[in-house]
Amino acid sequence: MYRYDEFDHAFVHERVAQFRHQLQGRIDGTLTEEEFRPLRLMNGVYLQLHAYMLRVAIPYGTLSSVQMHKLAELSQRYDRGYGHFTTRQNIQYNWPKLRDIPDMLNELAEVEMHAIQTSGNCIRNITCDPFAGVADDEVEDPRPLAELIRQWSTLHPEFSYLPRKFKIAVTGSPQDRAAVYFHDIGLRIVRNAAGDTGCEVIVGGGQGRTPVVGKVLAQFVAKSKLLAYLESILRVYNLHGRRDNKYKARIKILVNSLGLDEFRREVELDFASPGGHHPDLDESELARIEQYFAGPAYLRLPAHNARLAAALATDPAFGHWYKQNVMTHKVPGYAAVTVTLKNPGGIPGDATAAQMVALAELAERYSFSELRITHAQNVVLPDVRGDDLHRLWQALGEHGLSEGNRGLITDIIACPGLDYCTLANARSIPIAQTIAKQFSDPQRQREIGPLTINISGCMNACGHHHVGHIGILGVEKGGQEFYQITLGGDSSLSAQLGERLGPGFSANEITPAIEKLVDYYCEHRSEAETFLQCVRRVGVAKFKDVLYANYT
Amino acid sequence: MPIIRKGIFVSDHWHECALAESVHHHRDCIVPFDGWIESRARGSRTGEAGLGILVGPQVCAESLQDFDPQVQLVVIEFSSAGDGRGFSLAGYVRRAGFTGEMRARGPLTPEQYPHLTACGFDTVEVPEELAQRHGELSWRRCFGAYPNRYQSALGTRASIVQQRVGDMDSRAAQRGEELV
Repeated sequence: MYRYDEFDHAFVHERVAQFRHQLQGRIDGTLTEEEFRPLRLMNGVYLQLHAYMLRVAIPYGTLSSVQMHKLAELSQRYDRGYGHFTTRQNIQYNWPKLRDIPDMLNELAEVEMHAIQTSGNCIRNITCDPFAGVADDEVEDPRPLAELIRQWSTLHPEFSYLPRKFKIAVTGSPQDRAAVYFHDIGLRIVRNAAGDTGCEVIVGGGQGRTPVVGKVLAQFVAKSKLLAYLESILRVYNLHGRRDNKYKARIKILVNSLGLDEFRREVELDFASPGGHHPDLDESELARIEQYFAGPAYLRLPAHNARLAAALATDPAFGHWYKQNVMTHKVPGYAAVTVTLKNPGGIPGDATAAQMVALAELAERYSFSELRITHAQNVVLPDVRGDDLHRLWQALGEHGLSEGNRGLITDIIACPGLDYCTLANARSIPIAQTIAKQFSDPQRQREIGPLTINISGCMNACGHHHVGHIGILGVEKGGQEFYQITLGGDSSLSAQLGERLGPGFSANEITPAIEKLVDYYCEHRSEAETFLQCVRRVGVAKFKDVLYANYT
Repeated sequence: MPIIRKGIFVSDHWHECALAESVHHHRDCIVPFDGWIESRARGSRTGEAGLGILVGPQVCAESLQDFDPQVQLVVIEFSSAGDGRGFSLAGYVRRAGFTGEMRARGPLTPEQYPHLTACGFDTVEVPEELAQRHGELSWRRCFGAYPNRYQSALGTRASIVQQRVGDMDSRAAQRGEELV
């Protein structure tokens, strides 16, 4: 993975010193709260319902074991012994004291981490396929480009005061595991007819109040021109995006109001403008970054592993986990393992300090000291030998991390909701907990098969409810929490927004309602048909009728 | 309103007036952008003194070009600290070949100073109250902040990427020498 050089080190340390000074300015009154707010936000510091929250960037979801140890340490020293992994591959600390935050940032800088631009109206943490570099279906590893974009977007002088936040995702695989159609800019690495790799550029996707599937702006942009092209998009947005209404300020609104063709014309006009200060990509710089992602020293292993086969034959519980949580690796004999942070009854995405330490140690022992965070709020050990899988699974079990539910109904994505967030209208976490408990029987989960439930506590859709096969949106009506259900959402390449079924359910009614939908699917599916396939075949209306039959 | 140049509060000699008025002045005058564009279209000349142009955040970026030599100052207004349009407008002005003084005007904070200079601004003009509260020291401290940036071709210093490439070139040269 990427390692800082002296420039990167100097940069993050300067940023920490600057934030320490800004905080001092807030304390001594030279900075008003209004002035301090954008400054703290650009450094990942939010004011939540009960406390400040620090959001630490995990660029494109990649972590070393040393960094994971540090995250655990910070949670113990400055927080309440846990951290929350988010849908943007970041980690949030919910209870730090404001005066401690510069020290936390300083400790993070020691392990090449930061909280730069994890909030604010700027370019946010770049997200990526969590299986980048190890998936066997990839055109190219997207991380070098993601790192390049991270550096380019860091404190970009022209684009630090945008109309609204700006999210970029990169994937290198034809299978979209980075939700590129639901970002302000989504990049898909593709190969053109000449055999060169470049990016398909998707623009104007997003969730929130106005969910939109992104549109293809350019079918192929050469890597050498990518940053220049991104600058042109950002420039058009910075000048023309709405600033009068924060709910209409995202680029998707601009793209929709101009129309894709007119937006493209504006971008290309800027892109072609003579004397532009477009940074052509320096090839030696990309090569420098690429060498960090060359991959660990894999051994030459047989594709078939006798020890693994024996364990699978004798330990059915392990077999279930293996089937659900282990992905094929591009290197024979290795596997990519998903560790879900989704114990039914737990808080989706939360990990205790002890669990973080365990994950770091297991990564050291079994996965070349590397980990990934996924946008489904899980952890990946990307490079595990087949003959280590059984031992790894047993070790995970000692820390409550061996749930074999990746992609199943209890692998719920949920935002922090009204338990923490000032924006939320309703709680998300208790709903996730109740649903997961209701479906906790592993046998039943496997019978139901692939099904994602995504829960957001408000319209801002941090829990990605629009793209859950079942989406749940918390709303407030007359001081009471209600939950609306959407159906048929999909964040993969067959991207689709879920359709809202009808009036909301109370917190007590929502789990039985989900049960009804699942039961209907189980009764009416044709053989081997997944929930999403069934919804698409049968139609959302049918599910709606079932849900609201006898509804008063 | 106080002007900050290179981190220091300085006084200013520019006088603000309508374009028609500027003809009669022998002092350097800042005039509104619209009037300037119109007079240019009519081919009418203004007075002999230096001309400054006041550019609002809504000005069409493409019209920021063809600055005649009389134009010595471009003032770009920021409606608030969060209104980042001026950072992009500045790029258009510089790319159009304008080499005179470029000034940012608005309720900006010292924290934004490094961004402003990197986008090609020479001076910043802030409301009196803000200047007093933040103080000259804050502006001076922020003037030198972030000497190294990742972005190329903005501001005058070589970017981190350019320095890295230079560094690699010089290391390669050193290795070459050792081999010889």
